[in-house]
Order: sequence, then structure tokens, then C-alpha cells
Amino acid sequence: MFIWGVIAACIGLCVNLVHPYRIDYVGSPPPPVVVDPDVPFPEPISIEEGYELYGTQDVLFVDARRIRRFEKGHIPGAVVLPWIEFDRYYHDSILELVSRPIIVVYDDGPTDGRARELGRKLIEDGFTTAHHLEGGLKAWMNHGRPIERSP
Amino acid sequence: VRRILYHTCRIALGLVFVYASYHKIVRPDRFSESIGNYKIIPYYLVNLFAITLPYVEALFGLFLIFHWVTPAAALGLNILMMVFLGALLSALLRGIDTGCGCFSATAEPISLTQILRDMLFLVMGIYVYVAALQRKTAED
Repeated sequence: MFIWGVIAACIGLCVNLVHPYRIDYVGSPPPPVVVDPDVPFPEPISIEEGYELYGTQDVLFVDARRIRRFEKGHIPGAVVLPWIEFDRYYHDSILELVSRPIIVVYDDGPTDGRARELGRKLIEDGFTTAHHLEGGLKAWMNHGRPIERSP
Repeated sequence: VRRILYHTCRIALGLVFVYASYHKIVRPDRFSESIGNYKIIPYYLVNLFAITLPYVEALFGLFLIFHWVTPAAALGLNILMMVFLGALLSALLRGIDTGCGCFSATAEPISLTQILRDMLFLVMGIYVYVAALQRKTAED
């Protein structure tokens, strides 16, 4: 069965070379997200402020990194919304995003590039209380704050 | 009666898979989009699946129709069907609003009907597999 499966797959790979609707063998990443340049970047909050919010029910931490990085370690209770695949995962996160009044976006740090961009996109989409965690997850860990791994 | 049932299920299932693979083979670009919408596999593997999967479906479907290596073909199609069912269920549970991509890339939004239909195909496939094995053993 496996041999026939492999043979069929090889036929597919060969046919694709001459197919009128041929596609690349390796898929390309989704197009970059466009954000209105007039939208402001989110306000930064320090690790201490972030940790104070962490204990409350008002905040949702949003991880802007890739899924694999998120699974290796993230702020407990955070949701993942990879900036690089925003359009793909936004729909999955929307219910959680609307459920809390404050959103804190973070990435690995220290420049917080992805978190700032994601925060700006969220502000553009109406989540005006979005902040970014200054220094990202590295600073969070350096301050001895908790992290968890995905099972 | 059992013989008629076996051959009917075998040919029907084969035709279903050959028909299902047709649109995917003709428009791999659309099928790739359908797979991508499920958000299950990473983007760099989506096209590879879109290019190869329809041919596996078609070949196994043809094997069933022409009654050649039937147990292997039925097993292969059952595995494929389980993968499709898992993808459909996962998309339904996550509330992903996309086309099923089962028989054509655009039509048929994911619903319970498709899951029930695929389960019926799976039951047919399992029956064909078991019956084909039994026939093979009896012949040996």
C-alpha cells in the first residue's frame, strides 16, 4: 500500500511540472499584514506593571511569536497569535481577545518588534487597550516571573 | 447477496474517490487554498499535499474499481478517509468558516452532513477491506 501511495505521489510531483495550473512545491508564507501607518504603536508597560496585571482577570497576554516558540515556553494563560501568520490565526483568537478589557502583547524581546507591530494591528482593529510588554519574554524570565510550556 | 454488496460497495467507493480526485487534480491551486484554510499543516507543506494527495486518491480509487490489490487500496483509502474526517471535525470544532474541499474547492461549507457522509464512506471502506481480506484468505 505504501509503495503504491509513494508511486501515486511521484506521479503527482511529475505531472505538476507540466500542469497548466502548476503550483510551487513548497508553499509560500502568507502575505505580510498591512497596517495603516497613522495608527499609533501600543503603549509599553514594564515587567512589574505586567506582573501586577497578570494576577487579575482583566488582562489577556498575547504571544506574537511562532507557534513552536510559544509551545516551548510562554506566559501562563497567554494565547498565541503569530504576527507572521496574523491572518491565519486571527480568527481563532478573536473570542479570547474580546473577552478581556486589557491586552498585553509580547514577543521574545528585547526590541519587541513583532509585539509592537501586532499591538498596532490590534489597535487598528479596535482593541485600543493593547499594550506591549517591554523587553518581552526574556525580560519577564529575567525578573523570575513564571512561564509554562505547552503539553 | 454478500457478493453483490461487496462489489457494489467496492465500485461505488472507487468511483467516489476517483470523482473526488478529479477537481483536485485539475485545479491544484484551488485545492492548495482549501488545505491551507484548514490551518492544520504548516504553509510550506500545503502545496506538497495538494500536489500528491489527489493522485493517491485516484490511484487507490482505480484499484478498487478494477479490483486490483483491493485490500491494500481499501486500507489506503480508509486511512485517507480517517485523515479527512479528523480535519473536518477539527475545523468544525474550531469554527473555521471554509469550504470542505471534498469534491470541489469552492462549494460545500463544512457541516455535520459532510462528516456523516464521510463516516458512511469509512464504514463502506472498512467493509470492503474486511471482505477483500476474507476473499483473499479463502482463495489462498
